[in-house]
Amino acid sequence: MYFQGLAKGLSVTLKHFIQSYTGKTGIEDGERITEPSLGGMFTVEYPDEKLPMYPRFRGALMHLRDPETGEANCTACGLCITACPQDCLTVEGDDGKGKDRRAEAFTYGLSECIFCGLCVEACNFEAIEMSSDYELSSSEREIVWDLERLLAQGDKYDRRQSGEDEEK
Amino acid sequence: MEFLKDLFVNIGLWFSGWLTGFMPAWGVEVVTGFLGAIILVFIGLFAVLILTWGERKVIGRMQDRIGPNRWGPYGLFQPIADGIKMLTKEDIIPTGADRWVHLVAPILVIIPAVLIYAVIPFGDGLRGADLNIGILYIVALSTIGTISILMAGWSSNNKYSLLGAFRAVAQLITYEIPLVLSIITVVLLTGSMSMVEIVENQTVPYMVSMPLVFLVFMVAASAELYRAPFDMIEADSELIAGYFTEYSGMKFVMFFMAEYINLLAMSGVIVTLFMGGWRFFGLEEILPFLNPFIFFAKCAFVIFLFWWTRATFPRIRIDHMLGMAWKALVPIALVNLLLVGLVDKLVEGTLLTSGVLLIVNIIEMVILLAILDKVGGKTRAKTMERVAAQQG
Ligand code: SF4
Ligand code: SF4
Repeated sequence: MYFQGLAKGLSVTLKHFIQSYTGKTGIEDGERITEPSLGGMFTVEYPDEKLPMYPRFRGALMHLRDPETGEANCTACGLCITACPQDCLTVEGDDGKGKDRRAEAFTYGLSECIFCGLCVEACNFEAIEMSSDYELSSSEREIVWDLERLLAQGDKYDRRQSGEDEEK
Repeated sequence: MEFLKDLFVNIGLWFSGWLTGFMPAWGVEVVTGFLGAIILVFIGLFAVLILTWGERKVIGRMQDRIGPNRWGPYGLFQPIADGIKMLTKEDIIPTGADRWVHLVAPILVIIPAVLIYAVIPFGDGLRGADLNIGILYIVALSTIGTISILMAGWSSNNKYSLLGAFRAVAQLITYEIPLVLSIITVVLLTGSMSMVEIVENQTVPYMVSMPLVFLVFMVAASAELYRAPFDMIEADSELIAGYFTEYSGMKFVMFFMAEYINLLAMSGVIVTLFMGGWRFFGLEEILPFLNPFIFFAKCAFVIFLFWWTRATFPRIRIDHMLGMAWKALVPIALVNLLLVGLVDKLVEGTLLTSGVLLIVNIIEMVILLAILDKVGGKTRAKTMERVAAQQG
């Protein structure tokens, strides 16, 4: 037979065209169906639906709180500042000594951050973590987050606080 | 009821009758002619809106995507949003461009596209003009579009644009021949070049009785429209956007619109020549007001075929594309012309002619394709041998 290859190609596209209407698609029981054999479209309609981020996804930085006292874990040791290749962190501590010292101010230059996660690696006090937040657009040219903003970010995105299983 | 039966024609008659009440005869002609022209142009413009949306939707679905769906029901207002966006864009004329030619090209490209609508019969009595050389008029117009493409490419002072324009000319010269040869086949059977008479003489659609001619015409038409897989002139991966690379804003939209106006016009020509125009198994006699709907439904089918092939096939290399026209389509069309002429002379009776034509076409298809397959296979084997020898 001639034109076999052409006919085959045409039938594939037609099959997908029909399956996009008849096939299973979308979210069922909170799970997105992405089984190619089921046919249908697999587009995630982004602003309306979002894929869950993986636990190791590196979004904007956040500060974590001590679950008991509710204070920031950060001791203003400055390790993260040394580790940061972008020089986008600053910290100021209070008068306390050693582990009792607490950070009074912390700035995070989001617009310079490259989301490498080295600051998190460097921190010895489980004070910072990368959140899964990736919707970071802003109308400001320089985005700088202070300690308050970072803690708020932590309240929102810390998986341990919300009681979610971290591996999920 | 009588009025409703042939609604559109009767509205026209009533309107011109109303005008005659207070106008001289020439005034009526001017007004009705002018209104008719506006309606025809608006059919084209409306087609642009629907077709851009439809193309993105259908091709999206074929690629397991959703297509435009954000604005309006099913994303129907997307073309309007696109239009507004395009209007706000800056209009750039590149340095070293031939200013006037650059400006005129987008206007010139849209005129022949719209002019084609003048001779397409949308229904019994629904047409701009019944030229007795209608189909020749269309062939002549489709070449003017290419001149404006060449103008656009040349005046842009951009190598990619110029390359795209050159390809357009090569492609047009090549594919005009199988296109016209298959038109001649139809004209030979009908004995007339008037679009209306071609429809009226088609008891059996020529698509059924001459599938091979239809196939040749479809391939040549999609090359004439510069649509994928024959979109050599705007091959995005090679030429950025081909001849309209340097155009922005509204001037870019003009080329875009011309493309879609041409698409509907060409599918209208295909429907008229091969699918019986507004006729549909006698329905056109019972309910004449359905004529334009039948016509546009058939157009939609043809356009879907174009979209379908676009979503399926990758672009053909330019030498293969020209080779295909000269080595495959032109011989097929010539042999076809000969055989159709013979059958037309030897066999009497419409239905009998159609049957014999169908049989002849199928036999021809089998034989010609076998020959092409053999020849093509030989060339391929030779090439493969050479490649193998080079790799050594
Ligand atoms: S993620 Fe990298 S760049 Fe961003 S603050 Fe941490 S160390 Fe600096
Ligand atoms: S965030 Fe961690 S590493 Fe950085 S200053 Fe605070 S405790 Fe030290």
